[in-house]
Amino acid sequence: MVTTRYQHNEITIFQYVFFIVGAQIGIGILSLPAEVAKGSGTDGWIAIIMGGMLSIIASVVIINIMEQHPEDTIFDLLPRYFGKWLGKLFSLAFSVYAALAATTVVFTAIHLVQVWILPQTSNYWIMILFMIPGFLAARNGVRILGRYAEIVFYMTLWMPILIALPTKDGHLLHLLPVIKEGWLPIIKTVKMTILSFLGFELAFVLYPFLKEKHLAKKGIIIANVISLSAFVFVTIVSFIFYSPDEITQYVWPTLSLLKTIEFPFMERFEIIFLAAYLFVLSTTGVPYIFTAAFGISHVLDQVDHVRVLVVGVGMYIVVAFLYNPSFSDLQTFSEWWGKTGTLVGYFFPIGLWLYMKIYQRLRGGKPL
Amino acid sequence: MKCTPLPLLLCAVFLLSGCGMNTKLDSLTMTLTLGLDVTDDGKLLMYSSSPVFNKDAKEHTEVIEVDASSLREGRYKVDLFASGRTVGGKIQNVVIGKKLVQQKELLSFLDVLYRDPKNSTTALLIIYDGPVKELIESKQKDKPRLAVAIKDLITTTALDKQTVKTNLLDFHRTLFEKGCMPFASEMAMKNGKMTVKGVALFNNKGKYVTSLSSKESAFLQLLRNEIKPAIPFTLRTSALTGNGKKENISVSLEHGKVRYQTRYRNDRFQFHIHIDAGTIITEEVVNVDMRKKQKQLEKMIAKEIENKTKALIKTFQKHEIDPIGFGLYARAYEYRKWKKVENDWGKAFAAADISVSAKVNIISYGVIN
Repeated sequence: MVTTRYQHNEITIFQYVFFIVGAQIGIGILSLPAEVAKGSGTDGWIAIIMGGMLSIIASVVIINIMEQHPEDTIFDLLPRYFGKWLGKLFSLAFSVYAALAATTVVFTAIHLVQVWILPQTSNYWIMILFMIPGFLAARNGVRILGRYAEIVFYMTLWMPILIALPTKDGHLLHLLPVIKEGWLPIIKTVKMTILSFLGFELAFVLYPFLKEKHLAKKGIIIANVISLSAFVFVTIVSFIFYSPDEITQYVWPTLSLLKTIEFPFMERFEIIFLAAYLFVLSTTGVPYIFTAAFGISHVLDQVDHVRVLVVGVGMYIVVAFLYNPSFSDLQTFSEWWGKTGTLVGYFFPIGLWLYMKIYQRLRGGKPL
Repeated sequence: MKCTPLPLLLCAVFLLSGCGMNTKLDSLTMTLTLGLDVTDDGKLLMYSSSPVFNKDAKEHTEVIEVDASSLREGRYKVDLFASGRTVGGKIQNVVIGKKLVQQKELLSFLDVLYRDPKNSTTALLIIYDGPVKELIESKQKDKPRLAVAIKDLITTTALDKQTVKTNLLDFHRTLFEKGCMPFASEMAMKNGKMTVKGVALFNNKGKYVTSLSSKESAFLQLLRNEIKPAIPFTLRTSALTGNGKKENISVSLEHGKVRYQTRYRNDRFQFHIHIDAGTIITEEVVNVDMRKKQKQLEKMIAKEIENKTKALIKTFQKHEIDPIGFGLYARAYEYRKWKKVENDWGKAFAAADISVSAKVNIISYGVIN
């Protein structure tokens, strides 16, 4: 096997952390406050913390798996354990999942742009404009994506300050009483937070590229904690500002929150915010596109993922010409991403880990 | 394989529709003030006041009146009259006739302003006592453009606590909050000049219930713990001079704490409000040495605050409305009991025991003796 082929594309621990943070913070955060409020009122933030714990556990399991074969991505590892064809089938499934995630993010981003900023521009033009830089970033692989994620993270540090501004008109009282209906609704709400935390499963692909492998576990926990704090922060700000009865009225409470910010020289500040937020959305979409192309090129035994990427990007543009998903379609997409994400991000690592343990036990305790 | 994205990019730039459909400012009819009213036979009237950017036009404001069944429909009808394309993104004020809000629930009319993100939700919501036509067609020679004049009037008056500043979003928030009911500023015409009348109060359905005068407005905001920058009021008393003649003392409440205690006893909610206020004497018509009587004066002002706020709360309870937001406290501290009454909070609020106590501390008497 080609064991050292990822070395020319190594990433630092910072790039690794921000890559995962970028993949996690995306479309979920825009609607998360309303969704958790539907489930458990203003106790939703507790559900988010619990969801974060789950994602940390799943992340650590993923790193545990990857540690056993530090030179392998998931697409190298699966054929190792399941044989060529079954391994390829699983690899393909993982790639399809990544493609689904990418599709959801890209089309939701287009929908957001059309609703809030450019109602007159056709979706295929927006798609083309998204895909050109997306292609250029994804073609060069993990290192460029890592650098991109890092710079976007630093570039967007001003956003939380802005989001916190409306709290001056809010009431802390909205958060009381804590745990108003008992734990049951909170636990039920946890599953709604799963979609937002997805992104850590890209560590399956990322791990072999990481230079400082001994920090992998710490890094992924830090990444999850950063995302978790962002989610909890936005949710609590929304809860303080909106009344618990009102917040469910909004589709994207986070954006509506920004609508209240007004300067004497400027109104509708959310447009500027959303335009800047497109960078954040791109750090979710592009890594998934890359993962899908990377996975499929492995399945097809291609050395380079660029050819697959070209086909994929072309397909997105063609599809955008033919099909403009409605809001309810997008919700179906998100639902499916959530469902398959639960499978890929939570059940698959645990299943794989158990399988590997049993497999290794059968072979006398030696890893493959 | 190096492929330059330049040709692709150029194609995209040239074909983008953004540059093709540019909008010139003077070809737009920007509604700055939106008016809504109802005729005697129940027909909805919509007014749009927009600036005209053309040196040939004699009037610099264009007013259009249409009858419509909804705001969106009305906007298309306005288009028939307007010389430019109508846009709603710059609305500064939404003026609503009192007659309309007395008859109908407000939210359904305003839905489009919330639903379409292109519309501004920071426009002020104003209730107008009288036919809206009168205000929107009025020409005030000593004032700037109507939309600016109205907005300035409300904003500055609200700073003095004589009215409230409620924008569309505030209204939406309080309307959907079960524990707090909406309110908005109220205007009227007096001797051909527009004036602020006070505060209009609504129930949880968004229907007009009653009004507060501009003096009562100050105490409403005191109860809501919105003291900054200051709450001014004047009291008349004869207690200081002792000769039976009532004299004016003006007080400015500069800072303070309003604390709420919530309990549930004897099948009803009990609220206790404690106001701890620091005040400045801004005007004394009565000529006594107040320093000697400071304790007495402090007590008197406290008594005045208690009386005024209690009277205000009585009014609210009579009409079963809660613009102060006691419901928030009920929910936060007595959640189980609140859950039972949350859909009928007005009634539960009317039955609640509410007491007020005030403590006043005079910070200064001004710079003269």
